[in-house]
Amino acid sequence: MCAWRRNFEVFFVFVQMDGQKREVDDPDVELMLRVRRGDEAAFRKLFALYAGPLVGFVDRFFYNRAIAEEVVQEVFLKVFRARRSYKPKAKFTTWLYTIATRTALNELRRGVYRNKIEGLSGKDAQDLAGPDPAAEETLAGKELAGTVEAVLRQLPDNQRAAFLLVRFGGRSYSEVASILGISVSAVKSVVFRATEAVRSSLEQGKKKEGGS
Amino acid sequence: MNCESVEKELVAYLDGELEPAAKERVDAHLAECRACRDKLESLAAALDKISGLDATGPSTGFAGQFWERFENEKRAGIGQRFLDWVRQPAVLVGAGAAACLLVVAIFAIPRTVEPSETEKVIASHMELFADYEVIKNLDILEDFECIEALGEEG
Repeated sequence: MCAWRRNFEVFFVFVQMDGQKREVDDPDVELMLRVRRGDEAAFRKLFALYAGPLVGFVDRFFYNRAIAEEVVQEVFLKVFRARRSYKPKAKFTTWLYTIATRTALNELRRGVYRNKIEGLSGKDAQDLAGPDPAAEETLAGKELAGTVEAVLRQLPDNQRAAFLLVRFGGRSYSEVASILGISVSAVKSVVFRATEAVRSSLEQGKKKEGGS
Repeated sequence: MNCESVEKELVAYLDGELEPAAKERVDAHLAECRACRDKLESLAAALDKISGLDATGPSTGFAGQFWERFENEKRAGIGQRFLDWVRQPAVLVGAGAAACLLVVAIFAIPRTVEPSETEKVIASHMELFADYEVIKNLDILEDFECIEALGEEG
């Protein structure tokens, strides 16, 4: 790639972003701009960086790794398909998590996986995982995961997505607002309610343990 | 700030998402309110547990599956791009015009077909055609001479 063209692209990005130089400095944006120019190695690098964390994040929507992997593959194919129209208006991760969240929510709404997931929820899922009496810590972890899962299932999809983006996607409130198309104060409220629900559920579990 | 409004800020407070002025107000309230401090502690413990949950990692074959799918997508993409290009009106009009030109060319350009043996013989005796008008009535002329001879005899 010749220097003048790269300089022009950086200038173009700078103009597009209304002077927010911060985003231009995002190395992932630079990688994605290289993907836009047809650099497949840059795409492979982005996949290596984010596919793993995305599987962990998307898995919290479905509680099924195979489905999470399928969704994440679809996300990266969407990224590749959209490369020519990519405009770095925000951090790359905001764009990537927007695609991932929308894809996951669409899959949830399609309901293809819902029966499969509900059939495996809560205690059933733990039973299928198999008893592991030697590892009390693992068991406690599973119970905690089950509690969190049960609480998350009660939340509307958007609230659940906001909670997952903050807690398991590592996104800031302003990023979540941008991803879900809601205000930062709405994110704050949703994240508070979801976290409070998990806290309350954990407290109740503790009380039951104490009482039995 | 009262306890109810502070409570709603506590998760954002723990997440480091409060503006400096809001954080100061919450700090001031917490310094005086034991109940809100307990609530903060309880929320912090819950967040600690949540952040300690193991994240699911991808399976060993995940990356390989993806790159295989990616290559298939790319191949399909090339075919699709060609079809999309072909389906453009300008390309269709151009292709139609080219086909018309081809048809015209086929009929307009003189054919160079090898002449038959008869045609070759005729061509090698072209001088005969100069007297064709006379030669074509040769039989009549011969009969005419006979009639003339008979006339003279008579």
